[in-house]
Amino acid sequence: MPTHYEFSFENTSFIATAHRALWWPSEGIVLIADLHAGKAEHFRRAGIAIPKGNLEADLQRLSDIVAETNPRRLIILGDIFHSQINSEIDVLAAWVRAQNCTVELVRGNHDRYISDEQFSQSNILVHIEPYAVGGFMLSHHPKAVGTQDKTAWISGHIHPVYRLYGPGRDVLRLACFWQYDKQLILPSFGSFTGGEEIKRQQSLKIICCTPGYETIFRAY
Amino acid sequence: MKVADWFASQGFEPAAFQRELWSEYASGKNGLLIAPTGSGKTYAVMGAIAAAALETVDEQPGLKVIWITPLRALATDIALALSELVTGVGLKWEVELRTGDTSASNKRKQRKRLPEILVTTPESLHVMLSYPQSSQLFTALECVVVDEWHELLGSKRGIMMQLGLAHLRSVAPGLRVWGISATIGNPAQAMKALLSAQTRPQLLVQDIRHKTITIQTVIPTDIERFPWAGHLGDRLLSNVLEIIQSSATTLVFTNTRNQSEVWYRKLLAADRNLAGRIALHHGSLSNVERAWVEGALHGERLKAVVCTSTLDLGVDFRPVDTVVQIGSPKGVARIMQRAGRSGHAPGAISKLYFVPTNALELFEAAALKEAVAQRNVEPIMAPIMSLDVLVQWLVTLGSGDGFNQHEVFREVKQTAAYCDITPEIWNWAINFVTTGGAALSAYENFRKLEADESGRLYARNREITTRHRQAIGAITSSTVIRVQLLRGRVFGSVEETFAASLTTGQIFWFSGRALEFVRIREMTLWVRLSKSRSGVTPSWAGGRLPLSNQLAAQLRRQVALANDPVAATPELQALQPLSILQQAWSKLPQENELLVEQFDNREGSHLLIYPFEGRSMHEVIAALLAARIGKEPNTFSFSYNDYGFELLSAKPVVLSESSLHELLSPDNLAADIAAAIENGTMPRRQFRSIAIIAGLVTNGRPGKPHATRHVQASSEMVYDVFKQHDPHNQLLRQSQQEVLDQVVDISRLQQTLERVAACDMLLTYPPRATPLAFPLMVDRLRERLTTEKFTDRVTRMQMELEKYANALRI
Repeated sequence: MPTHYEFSFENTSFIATAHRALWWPSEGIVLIADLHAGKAEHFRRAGIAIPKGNLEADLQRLSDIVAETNPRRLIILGDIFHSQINSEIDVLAAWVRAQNCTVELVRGNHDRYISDEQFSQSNILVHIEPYAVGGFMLSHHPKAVGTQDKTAWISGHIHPVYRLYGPGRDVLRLACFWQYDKQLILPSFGSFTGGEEIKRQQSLKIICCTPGYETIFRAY
Repeated sequence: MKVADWFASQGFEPAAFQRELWSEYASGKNGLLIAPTGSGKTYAVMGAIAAAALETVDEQPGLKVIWITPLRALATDIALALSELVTGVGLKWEVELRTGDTSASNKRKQRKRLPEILVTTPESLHVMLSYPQSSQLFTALECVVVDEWHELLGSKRGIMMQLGLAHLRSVAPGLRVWGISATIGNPAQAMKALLSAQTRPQLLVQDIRHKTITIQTVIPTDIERFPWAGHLGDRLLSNVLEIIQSSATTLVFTNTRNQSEVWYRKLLAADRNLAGRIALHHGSLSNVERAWVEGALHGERLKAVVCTSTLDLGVDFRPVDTVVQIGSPKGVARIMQRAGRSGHAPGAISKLYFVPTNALELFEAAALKEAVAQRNVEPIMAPIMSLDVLVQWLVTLGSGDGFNQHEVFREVKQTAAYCDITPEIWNWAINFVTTGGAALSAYENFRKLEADESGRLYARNREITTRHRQAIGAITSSTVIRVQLLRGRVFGSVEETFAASLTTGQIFWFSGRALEFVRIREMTLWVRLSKSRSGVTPSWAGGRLPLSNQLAAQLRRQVALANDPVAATPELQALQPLSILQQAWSKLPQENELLVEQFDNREGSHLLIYPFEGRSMHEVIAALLAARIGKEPNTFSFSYNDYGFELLSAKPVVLSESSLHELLSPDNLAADIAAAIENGTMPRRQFRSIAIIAGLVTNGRPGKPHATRHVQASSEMVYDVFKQHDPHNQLLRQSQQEVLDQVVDISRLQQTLERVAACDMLLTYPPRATPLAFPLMVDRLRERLTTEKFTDRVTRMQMELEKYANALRI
């Protein structure tokens, strides 16, 4: 089963992985979106029993991707941290310190609880959206509908999910990379995140990842 | 005044069971009263309580009686009836309501002082117990009456009731508990679930007077030999109109809310004179809408009401003299209950007209009549060991007066639901609400309940108690969105998924009105009235009723009887053309035979099996069969109905009588089923309601913005996190178990396969689709095609088959 899907977006070659990351070989950049670290801890503190371990597992997946691609830069397209600061920031910071590449964040709506200083203490370099790199705009929120902006955007925020029908009345909801118009939306990387269903209409590409990260395939 | 005198003054003669109950209550007994609707069961129980109170010398004011009703919509009517009786006999007792509809200021008042009689729901009782100092309010409680116990018994709400009762018993020693139930197949078990073994003495009181019920089938003039579901009713519209016109007031029962909307519209379109005299009543309409209909029914202002199970329960609508049932009710108890809504006068006959929605439902009509004649009513199985409900209950107690876990363990163990709970499971539940789980480190910083110095467990903070009170309950329907007129009133609610499918300006039918979709904001779907004549009708989940065991057995008997050329009943006579064709191309099975059909056509190779066990059972048997045939499941496409199922494949499955016996053998069933569901999506789906009840997932409520948005997660996310990082979580195990017990119903499956093992295999090779096969093939198409294309296609298939049969002169 394939674990990578190579495609061209605005004449540039990208590789999407079954682990919901995007590898940009010509720039040496790995992109992910919506990690939502701190979320499970936030739930526990609010009295909802969510077990620990998902952040550690997510970061292990990210380590595997970094080891495989050896990027110059890892850029997170927003929502790296879900809530007010809590102990999971230490887990995240320890992971960041162990990396050889730069770890950068394009601020998302959830990241508002954490100051630039706090991020820089964790060795995370912060950008404001949209952030221009190699002819693309990197952003947390997708480009607003109806703007005159003609550049190509890569963003997150939506947590796109595509619904596939199996035999019988089986329904699968799969996290996906979603291209429409000149926009590419990344699936959410964090495993304790939900998703919003997207429709096929007006889509140019839908690339789905299976829930256990086994494989990646183009569904539309 | 004596209670018997009051009865006399009202012109009632107390029935034997009422007198029995009065004297037994006076002697201190607990019990369960089984009596049909309209038999005076409310007065039987309340009369007993009032009579005992009249004997008491020094009456202290304060709460004496809690009257539990399963539907808050019924509470007002109950309260009226109760207060009529107590004032009639001269008791200075107040009667008040406490439901989700009670105003906040009344609720606050009731937290300090309660009336003598409080009419409430299981959920509201739990909410009351979730406030500090609540136990003090209940110390003088003398009796709890659980009305319509059969409605609660089979669900997790029944467990909530058991837990609440166990707690009230320890708060108010000497408490008497009485249940009231419609006729059910297992009254002794129902009483055991209501009264713990410790509650003594116990007594079962039954109203043994037999109300005569007649069921008349509306038989279509020409029978389709190739029937398909859901459109025959239309052709019987004029018959239904005739029934309505020749009766004073008619209740027209449908099986789903969607069907009630459709029928209301059709009846009104067919007879404009009904305008203003026909109404619609179902569970998604607003309270105001429903209350208006109920008032108009009482006031004899309505000719007909199209309704769903919402009118199964509650006080009698005296003007109703006729009941119509559209489509098979799938159960004996349900049809008896509905028939009982007509004919209230002593000795009057309850009359029900059954309108089949396809020709095969005539078999069900014959089966129903026979089962009703034998009073072969279904038992109701009470769920046990639901840890989601237990976990919720612990937080309820922790939010209120706090609890000592050893005391509560004893209370919980008294209930029928948790009498087998082990200390291990109990400790898991306590851990789950205190430290999170067995492995402490897995839930670092989690606390819901905390112990004080004495070891009593309390909720940690106000945010937790507030959120918990909003979430108390075990009804976990899909998220609904309120439907409201722009600057106007609320009509009711539809499911979120339906609302999401609408586009601006689209017309849909709801509450009998054509509505134009304007926008969705804050869980409210804003609409304006439309004059359009076409539009979509919402459907709601949970629409399909499973065929009961009782009815299934009777159905197989009726199918066998259809083999007799001299059919005894009008239903089987009407079915003759269909039966003859079925016999010519295949067979009609006897009760000790299992019919299997195989044939090929352009679509592929069809394998059809007819156990007549009901749709949900067929889904499981089909999955089991496919797994045992040993091919990838997606090499088949499946179709199911209440009579049988179809497996369609590209290549034929080679079968013999002996291989069929092997494939459907009851041996090794548990392991095969476990393997089949282990990796499927069923436990994941089942987990949703568990996660909501256990407080892991907060449900948005219509008309209110999410107050709890910051801790909102979907049950799928929680399921996956548990599966990955706490795989031994008991709630995961519960969802597996619920799939086995409820979705698969493994004990009934075992019985079914044992019955099949004793059957002869009737393997036939019809030349084309038979009358029994046709509706299954149609159902498979239904999901793939648009409505118009679908109807065209089905009509063409019907004509082709008719042509072929006619050419063969059958």
